Amino acid sequence: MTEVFSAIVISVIALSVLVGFLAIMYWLVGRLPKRWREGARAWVFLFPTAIAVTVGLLIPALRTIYLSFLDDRSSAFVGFSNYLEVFTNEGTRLTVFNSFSWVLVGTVVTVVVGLALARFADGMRTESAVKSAIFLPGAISLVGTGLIWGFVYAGPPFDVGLLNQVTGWVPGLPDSLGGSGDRLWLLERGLGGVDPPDTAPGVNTFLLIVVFIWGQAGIATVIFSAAIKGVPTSLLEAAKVDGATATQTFYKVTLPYIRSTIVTVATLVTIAGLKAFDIVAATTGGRFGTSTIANEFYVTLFVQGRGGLGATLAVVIFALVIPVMIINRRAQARAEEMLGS
Amino acid sequence: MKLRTKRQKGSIGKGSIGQSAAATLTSKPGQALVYLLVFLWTIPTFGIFISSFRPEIDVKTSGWWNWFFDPGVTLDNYRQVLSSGPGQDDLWKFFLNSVQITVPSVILSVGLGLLAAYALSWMKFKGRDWVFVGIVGLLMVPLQMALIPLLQLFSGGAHIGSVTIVPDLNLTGKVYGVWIAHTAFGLPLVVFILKTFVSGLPRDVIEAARVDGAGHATIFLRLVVPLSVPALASVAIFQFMWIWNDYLIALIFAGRDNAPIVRHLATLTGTRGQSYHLLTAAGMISMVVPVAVFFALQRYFVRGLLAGAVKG
Amino acid sequence: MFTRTTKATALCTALLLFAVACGSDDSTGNASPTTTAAPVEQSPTTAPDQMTDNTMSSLMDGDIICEQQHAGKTVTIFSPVRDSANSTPIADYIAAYQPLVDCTGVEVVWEGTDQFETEINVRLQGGNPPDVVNYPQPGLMAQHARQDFLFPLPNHVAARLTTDYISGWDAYGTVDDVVYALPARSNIKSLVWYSPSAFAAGGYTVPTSLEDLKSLSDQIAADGGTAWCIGAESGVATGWVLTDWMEDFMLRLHGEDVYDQWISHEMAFNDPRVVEVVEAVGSYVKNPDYLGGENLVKAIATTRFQDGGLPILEGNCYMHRQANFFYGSWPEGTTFGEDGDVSVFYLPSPAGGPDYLLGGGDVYAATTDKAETFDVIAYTGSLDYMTEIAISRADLVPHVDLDVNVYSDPFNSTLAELQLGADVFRFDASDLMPGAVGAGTFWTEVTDWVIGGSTEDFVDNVEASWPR
Repeated sequence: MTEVFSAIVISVIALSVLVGFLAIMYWLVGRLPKRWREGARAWVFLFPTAIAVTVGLLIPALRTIYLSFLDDRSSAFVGFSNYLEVFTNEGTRLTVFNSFSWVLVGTVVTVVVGLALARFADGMRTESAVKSAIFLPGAISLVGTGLIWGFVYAGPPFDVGLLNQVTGWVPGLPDSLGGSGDRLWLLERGLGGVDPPDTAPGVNTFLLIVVFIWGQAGIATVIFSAAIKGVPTSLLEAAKVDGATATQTFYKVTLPYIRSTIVTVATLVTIAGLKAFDIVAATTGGRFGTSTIANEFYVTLFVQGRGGLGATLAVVIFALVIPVMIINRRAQARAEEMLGS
Repeated sequence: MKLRTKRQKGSIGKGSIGQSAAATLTSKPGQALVYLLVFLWTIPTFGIFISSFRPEIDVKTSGWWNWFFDPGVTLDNYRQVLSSGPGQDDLWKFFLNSVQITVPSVILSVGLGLLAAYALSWMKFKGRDWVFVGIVGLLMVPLQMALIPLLQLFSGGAHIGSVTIVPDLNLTGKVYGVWIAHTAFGLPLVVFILKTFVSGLPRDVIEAARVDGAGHATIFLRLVVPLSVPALASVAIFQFMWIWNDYLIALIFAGRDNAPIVRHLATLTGTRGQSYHLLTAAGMISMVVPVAVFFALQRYFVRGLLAGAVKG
Repeated sequence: MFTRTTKATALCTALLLFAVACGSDDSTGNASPTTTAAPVEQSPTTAPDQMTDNTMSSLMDGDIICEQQHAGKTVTIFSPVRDSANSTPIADYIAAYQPLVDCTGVEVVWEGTDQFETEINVRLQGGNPPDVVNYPQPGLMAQHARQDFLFPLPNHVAARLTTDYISGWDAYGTVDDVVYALPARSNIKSLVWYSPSAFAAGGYTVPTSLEDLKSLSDQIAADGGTAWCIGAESGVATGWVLTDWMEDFMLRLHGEDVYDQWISHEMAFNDPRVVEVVEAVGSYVKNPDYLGGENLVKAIATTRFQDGGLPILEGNCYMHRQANFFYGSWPEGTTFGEDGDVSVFYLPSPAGGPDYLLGGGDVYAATTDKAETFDVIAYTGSLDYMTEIAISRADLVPHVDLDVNVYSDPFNSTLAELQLGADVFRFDASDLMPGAVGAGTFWTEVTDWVIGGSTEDFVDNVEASWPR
């Protein structure tokens, strides 16, 4: 108990020191000539964050880029050969297409589900319970998620898989769709007798994306719910007066109003989708054509212990942030335009 | 159609910001959709809930729905998880460790994030947009790449040649190192969300305060913080959940003695992962706190994250 | 050469000795060095229960002097071994260090983790190493040695590597001719788990040659039973179970020299001899008649390895090839031995040839160069420590002087006997191959192969991935 107590004391002291330090800095900066004052004040507000992310994220990012030019033991310079290896590897195309599927399908479905729930649950008596139920998966740690979905997608020799149980129970369902109740869902890439081409994501990848959506939808729902409730009454009343139905109001008034929020949530889910490897690692380990760029990064770096190649894959992931941020900026700008702000 | 103004249970708000005035005639199909989604979302977890009461061999070889035909409740899994570890108090100790790791990290990251969000929204300085893009862009950095450099910094300090930039603070294995790590890793998300909210605050209110002679500090403390309570609560709950369930950072930066409960529960599966059936009970137990915190902060949610930019 | 008859006699003698020892009054740990199959060696004569004598002045024949010289110091052992809810090995492992603690005053702290590779890599590179690292396989140890994270063991400690352990082990503590690690615990992999009662009911007998194993499998299939059940799923490590099958068969079909060439890449991975091994393994694992259907062949890749043998308990299959550490995967309450629910037989070698044993084990290496670190490692490799953990944890240890009768359960004595008596011992190959292969393509390609890929693709892809 004393440890906890001392930790509390230390954290309180540390926080006070930090606040005190910032206050002093702020006051000091106020004595600068007017020209510098505003900018300097801004930096007082900003610098703890700036230092933290620079040290914690930016410098490691730069170091990663540096490491991508070294070999696996991080001792010899190898130029671009790691990049060459990544881009000429046969499996890379599939991995990249898988990642894109994660982003596209994951983001779109999460946003749609979040909006639908936020909209229809709004005003229901059981609204809190609904939101809690959707949010629950986010409260479960990774350790639990792997187990939970393992019990959904499991196949023979044990009958522990829920999906198999359900499809096996549906009368007349062909075996290729799971009708026999013993399909290996995480292994099979084709469905209904149709196999995808070698570099295209298979059904098993989409089943993993379902797990991702399951975990992300809660945050989306909560954020959208708040945003929807924030739409000014005046606008909604005006629509009513004009004779709009609930549906029309939603699509013509509410949605455009919260467009900025939608962009934000979509960006967050996209980034999460690009970085997520835990789900893949815990279920298929990237086998059977389900690997994503993030999973390859994790396996290369931590399982195979290859420093240079792992860093290269990390750089590929960073590089993907550029298009994401560009799209985000453009979309936000357009959203702001629409609201005339 | 009747228009009703509905007050959400436990709402704090007075005034126009965020007041819910939804067209409350939720259609029957809409409700049905909601219930269907809720059902689909909870079924997987429900399976684990049932499994946590079943004996080991059943969990591993037969589906959980069979429990309904052959019910038999065993508390063995829970008993083993709750009394795990050599001493009686160990689980409680890990629980306290989790609290000790999570609470200061959340406070620190949300506090610093709000300061940064305000600066990025309402203070003018050169390069403001780039700083924001930079911070948010850092969201893409995979955590795993940041572990080693940060650990090097904590173990030995930072030097260039023989010049010491950061002395050896010997932070490894101490809980303060974890706070700093969590804050650094969590800030981009916090800043991203808070900035979107703070910049959406009513401009005229802030302008009015400025006209009255308030400086940035006053506006921040007296205006922005109170108005941001909903957003702060929302971000706090996200950070709380993420940090509470975090595994990797605690693994690397917190010592054995400071290990959070999540990490302890994961090791229960045994050296070769053979006791994975225990994760059913462990998962249920580990959910309790984040869900409790979520409920506690629910009332702030309804006010909402991005509620209430009253335009015009 | 120990022929099968000699081995059988040795086994019976050992069991007889054990029975006799049990019949007389308590003789815990009284090791009279008459273990039948072990080569004759001078072994330290102090048995564990004599170590609590206050006048002890040194341990390990004077290698460690007792002067409380490490009083106040701590040595951390970093290990993948951790406590689970119903098994607490850590306390036993630490307790076994008590003589060292009494002698030198050192404190031993155990850090168990379930993210061993991740954590040790980050800690070593991040400048926060533990003192002793318990590597579950020597491949990673070699990698770290080459990255200069490990310290070579002092000469008097290193010398024991060549004298104290089962032949073959000395190679695994050495990297580029420098000794970095001592063995700690061992496991044997050339084993088949089965249910004695199911065999009796079906009229089957334990096979004593590889050819017999094949006929037995055919016989079971002909009788309509499922001969084999296999589980190879293991997250990112999925496939290692099948690589173990390959290694066992490589030894049996081509012998230890070719095996060594395979590891060192003197023989290409797509050499015809490797292809032969792949086909031989395939005749077992990819055989729908043995597995109970095409779907179950594919299911190998999705069945958790921890659950791989469970169908035996349900009467759904007859044999499961897996290492002795699978002991812990059976549900609580399972009994072992000839009269129990499950037992184990040696995966036989071809008739008329030597008995090959595939195994693995843990090695302890030093990541700090303190005297107390080296003392802990030295003591871990001592007969006293190994005997103690054999008694308290029923662990297999590779010490040549171990008295197999110290195990309280004859099941374990049999295994220890097997370990000591094998003609040829080799360590798990995938643990020794470079990471890109042994922890990479070997695993992924064998998985693709078992779910329907071709042998050519398998061996060609692995060969192509071998680092130049």
